[in-house]
Amino acid sequence: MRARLALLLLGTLLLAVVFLRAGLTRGFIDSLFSDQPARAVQLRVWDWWSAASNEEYGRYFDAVEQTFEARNPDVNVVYQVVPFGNYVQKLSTAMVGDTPPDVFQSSVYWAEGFYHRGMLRPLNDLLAENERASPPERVTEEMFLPPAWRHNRAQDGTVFGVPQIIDAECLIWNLDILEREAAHDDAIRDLFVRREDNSIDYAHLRFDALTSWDHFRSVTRKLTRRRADGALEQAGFVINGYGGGAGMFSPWLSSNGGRYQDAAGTRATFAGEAGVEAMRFLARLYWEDRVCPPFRRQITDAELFQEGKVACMVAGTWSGKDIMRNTLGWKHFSKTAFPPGPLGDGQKTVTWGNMLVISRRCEQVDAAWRYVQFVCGLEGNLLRSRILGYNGPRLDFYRTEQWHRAMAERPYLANVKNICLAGEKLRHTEIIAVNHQVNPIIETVLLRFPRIEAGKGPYPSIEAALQEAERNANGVFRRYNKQVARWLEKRGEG
Amino acid sequence: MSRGSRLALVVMILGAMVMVYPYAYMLGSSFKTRKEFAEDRGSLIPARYQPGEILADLRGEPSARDWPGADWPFYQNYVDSIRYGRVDRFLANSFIYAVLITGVQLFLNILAAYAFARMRFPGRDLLFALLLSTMIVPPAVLLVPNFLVIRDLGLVDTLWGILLPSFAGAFGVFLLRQAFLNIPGELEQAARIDGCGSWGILWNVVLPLSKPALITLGLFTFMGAWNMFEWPLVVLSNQDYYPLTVGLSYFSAETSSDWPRIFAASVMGAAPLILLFLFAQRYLVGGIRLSGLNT
Amino acid sequence: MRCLAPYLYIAPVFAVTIVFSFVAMGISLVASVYHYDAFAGASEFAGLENYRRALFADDSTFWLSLRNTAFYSAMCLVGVLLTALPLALLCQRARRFQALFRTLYFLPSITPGVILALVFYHIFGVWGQLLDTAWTSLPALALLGVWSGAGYNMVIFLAGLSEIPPQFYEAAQIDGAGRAQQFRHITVPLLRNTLVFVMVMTIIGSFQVFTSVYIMTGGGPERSTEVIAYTIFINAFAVAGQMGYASALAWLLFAVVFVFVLIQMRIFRSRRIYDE
Repeated sequence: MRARLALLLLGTLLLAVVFLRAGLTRGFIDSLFSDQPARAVQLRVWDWWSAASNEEYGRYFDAVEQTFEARNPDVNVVYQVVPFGNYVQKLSTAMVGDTPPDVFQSSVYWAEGFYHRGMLRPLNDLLAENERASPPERVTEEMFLPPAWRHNRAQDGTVFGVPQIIDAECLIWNLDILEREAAHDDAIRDLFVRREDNSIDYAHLRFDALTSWDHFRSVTRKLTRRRADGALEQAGFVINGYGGGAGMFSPWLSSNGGRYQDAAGTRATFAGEAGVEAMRFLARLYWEDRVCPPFRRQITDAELFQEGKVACMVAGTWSGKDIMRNTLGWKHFSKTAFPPGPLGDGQKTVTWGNMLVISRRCEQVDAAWRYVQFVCGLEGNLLRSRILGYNGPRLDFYRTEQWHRAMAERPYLANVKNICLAGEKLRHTEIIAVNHQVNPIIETVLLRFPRIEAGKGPYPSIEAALQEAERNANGVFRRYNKQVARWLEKRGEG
Repeated sequence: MSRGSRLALVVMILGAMVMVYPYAYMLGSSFKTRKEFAEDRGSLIPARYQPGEILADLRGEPSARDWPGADWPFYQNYVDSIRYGRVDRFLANSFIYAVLITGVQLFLNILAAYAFARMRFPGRDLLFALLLSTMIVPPAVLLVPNFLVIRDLGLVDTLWGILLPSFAGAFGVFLLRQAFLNIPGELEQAARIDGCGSWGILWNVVLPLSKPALITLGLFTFMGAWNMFEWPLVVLSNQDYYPLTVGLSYFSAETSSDWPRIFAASVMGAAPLILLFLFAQRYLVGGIRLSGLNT
Repeated sequence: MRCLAPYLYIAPVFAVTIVFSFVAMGISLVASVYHYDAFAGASEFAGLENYRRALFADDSTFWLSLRNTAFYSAMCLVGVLLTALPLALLCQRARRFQALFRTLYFLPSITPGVILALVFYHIFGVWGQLLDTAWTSLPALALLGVWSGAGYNMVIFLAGLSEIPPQFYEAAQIDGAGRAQQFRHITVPLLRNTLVFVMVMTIIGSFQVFTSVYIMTGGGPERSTEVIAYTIFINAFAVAGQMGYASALAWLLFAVVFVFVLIQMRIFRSRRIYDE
């Protein structure tokens, strides 16, 4: 009996420590019962960049908070992290809830959707005033690279976000592997940049190193090594069979002259000739050229790449810093765009510029706009470059000393600007619902390609599979656009 | 011991190992560094503690002890998950919700069960049947409807929004009524003669005598509240309010998850209930028998 | 005032429980005949359009997820019967350590499902990559379900077994019946109530599986693990303006479960009369 009592008290003591550590004293109780904050202006900022996945994000937000709050003593910035996969649901819930954010980062996947739902405050009036600001603080259209300013406005010219980054899908190459191969292979050596004195620069790949899909196929074949028993020792490429879906497929589609959807978001267009060819190309890389490691759900492309087991993977240009952080400093990798397919023309990819938006329920628009201007202005870009190694979406960013230093420190950044400029507009309409319809079909095509080609699969052909996916995606678009019409009618903007 | 029961013992031990293995896996992986986990996902012991690696290191050969992070203490992931992952906050939230839900449910259920067991009033049996019939609707079906109700009440993403639907529960009324009915009527007669009203009888006579049932119900409710996942997932967006279950699902949703850290947070999430269970086994197991037999 | 008191005692529980079951279902029934967006508003009357789409449309995943859920349920049922009952019998035999085994086997029942899903996500990867192919994913999830419920069901069976008077077994032994015959003619008939109880609870519980799908597979690969609760969740919260459709799905699920509960009540009622 005594022992039990003692254990109980010990447990209570431990819990009290947990409470105190979590700051669950007055602050939390206050938040339970009152809405009024103690300080002046509380600016709630949400983002999916999380210190839990990369500590550099934590340092970035600290730096932003300190600098901004020092310059704006009346504002207290409060951050919250919401994971990418749950962002739409969480934001929607927040909008009908008690404590919606004032400013949040929105992926281009959802920004248009948020705008149609009426969750975003249009920024045209604020941007008009901003024209008169000094260039480093100006965030109007002409300050940005054109691809960054595609997703943040509606058909009627309403601007609802300001880009804070520019990203693109790219091919990331393991230069350790390439350099090793280049020692006895001229073709691989040719992929690297040649200096004026004709020596090879093994820290940089040429932006247009890959000239065609066939070239890509032959390069990855050369980079694939199998052991005597047939097990894969080193893979030329890696394809994500589970959940990679449309996101993995669309840059290849783009490089073959196709598009995933139309600009207005009414129709899916990926099942045409270009799309079928791209899908077949990817499936063949896995099943016939055999340049990829076996599909595994629990092991991601990034993990395999970071362990040095694959020579090339598809990732966003944003992932460089994560590779560096997870490998504790390895940066001998480089990025290129996607080579043109048979129906394509020139190096291509898909680009997007995630943006900061102000929510319609924001009650301190002035403070929010000051924050947006800071983060999307030149100074914010430079902070992101210094701490996170990001390239910015602003034109003046690429003329700064900081950018040139960043490129010297992180050689993998060299091609990033050109890759972003080569990109087409990333798909952006009702992504979650479309993925829900399309991704399982792409999964089936990749996982069962041999049977489908032999006519014994769940679909008679790849064409049939993609066409069904396109039909279903069109169903999603149809229902979505009907709902948009209802929203607009409800708000009197129809 | 007969041969039959010896065989039974062996099989049970094997089965117990199967039951315990995932916990051992979780615990062992929570001590690993990121690289150790990536290199060998199946081992229960982190590479840097394995005898083979330690020997290799002593002999001066390259080993797992040269890997990045090998010099970290074994509890590094626990510290990190609190520092970067706010796990302490999530644990505290889970605890608060569980305590509040248990307390309120117990209170409401005691009142209603006493009325159904001991009071006579028109429509009593009909109302009881009506209450029990609400158990027909399975929770998965109620997820969306409850959200609509909470939304109409304007309680989305609030503390009340999480707790209110969890206060509902006919099962506790059923269980307690059963327990109250088992108390001999003479004791209450005696109390009434002494001048006690219904309220007094409830608190002074009935409750002390039905302690086992109360503790059982309290424990079940606490565990159910600690483990709740779908409802907070759906109704919350403010991270300050997340219980541990939702917080964990968030870590794993990151694109490059730090799995050992997630396992450390999982251990911290599973341990409290296991400790509680060890304490209060008797009541929990007894409660299951009660519910199993009386349906 | 005396006659008001009982109603005051039961009022709070009633209010909360009725609201969050019947009233909620009523609201969702109304929602299911609208194109309804719970977040940005703007609904439109749809009549039976949502039901029609769920039941007949090409791109509806209703039948697929119902089928997946039914398979999952069936596998869980078989798994539970094959593990919990033998375990209970064995546990009874290993008399001395019963309490210890009960504890160890009971651990999964007191661990949040999220944690079990996260751990098994990797265990299934290490042991055979079970989540990678369409025909092993659902059985793997069922394995997790059976493993989680083994202890709980074992305890229920233990309770049921302990109700059987040992005299029956002694009498049978005297009559020369072997162990198998004793099992068939004494244990199983007298365990019927418990058996039915466990079977019904397993089916009703496994029909609502969500957490493991959400955490481990997201419905894949190739939609093989897309269960009905997950479909409802996706349509309600991740897609614009389909809360009405999700409500329709929820009502269809309720209809299926309700029919099953009716069947179960029939079985029970006939049993009671038989025993009387």
